[in-house]
Amino acid sequence: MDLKAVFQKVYANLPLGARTEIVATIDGEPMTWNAVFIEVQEDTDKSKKILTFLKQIGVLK
Amino acid sequence: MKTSKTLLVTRPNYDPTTHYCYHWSEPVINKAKEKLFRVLDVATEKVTKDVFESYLKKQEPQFLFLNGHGSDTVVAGQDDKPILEKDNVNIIPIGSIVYVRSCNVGNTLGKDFVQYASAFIGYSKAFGFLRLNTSMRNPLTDPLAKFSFEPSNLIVTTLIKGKSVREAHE
Amino acid sequence: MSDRGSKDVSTEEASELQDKIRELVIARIRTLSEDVSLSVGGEDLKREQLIEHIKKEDEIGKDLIDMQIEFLQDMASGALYENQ
Repeated sequence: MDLKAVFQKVYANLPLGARTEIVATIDGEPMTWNAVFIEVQEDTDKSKKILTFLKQIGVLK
Repeated sequence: MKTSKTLLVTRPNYDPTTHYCYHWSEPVINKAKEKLFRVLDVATEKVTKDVFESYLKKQEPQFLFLNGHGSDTVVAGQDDKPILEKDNVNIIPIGSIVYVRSCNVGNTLGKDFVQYASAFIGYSKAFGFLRLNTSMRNPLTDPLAKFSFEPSNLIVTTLIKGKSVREAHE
Repeated sequence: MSDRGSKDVSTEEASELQDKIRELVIARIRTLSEDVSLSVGGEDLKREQLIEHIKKEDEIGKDLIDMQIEFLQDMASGALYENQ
């Protein structure tokens, strides 16, 4: 499964309140699960960096 | 005199951490009494090595719930003074179940307990909790601390309900 | 690329990753209210003190980083909500 699909599955399973937790910082900017979701949906360059980071820290498997 | 329904609780109280552990042990004590356990509540100034050893030798409680600061080699009582370390680990009643709510005891000392206890549950790292400074006067109302203490208390309440150590650990 | 070169790159990558992890954990700690303290061992730490420990990556700082990352992993895997 590619990282985008893995992320979407994880995100879908998160309780709504948990989605406002900060899960990454990119270029100094903190990003919540919700903010990352938008980037991933739009397939931005930022999203690729974020997904790689989340895999590196074991949040995405 | 060994009694299978005796719970010994140590709860020193002399700094914010022990203050919280002191109060958050109360629901466990109440639950144990409800389940008709004899509760040996060793609190504040009484949590010294001498008093602790005396209780263990005379009463041989089968459940031990120890609160306080700790390290790889020590469980502390009031004012950070050791009550349980390698040199007196042999006072732990044979076949007892021990839960230590302290930092790091699970690393080394906890492993020595099971020469005597039938089971030990503890922490190999620091036991910490978030708390609201405004709740110092009444720690049981602290909604943040609740996230750490309720699961922790569940270990003891699960055991006194007669469940297995495995279930309590889970 | 020589082996030594590869080793240097991966050390650099590891160091960069560690910086990002530290940045993430600090960002998360900054969302704590000023009214919140972390009681751990004999210490009672407020938000700014926690951040200092994380920046130094001393024993408390490392434990905090580990706790935060483990929390995020458990959140993602659903382990946090398993028994509810």
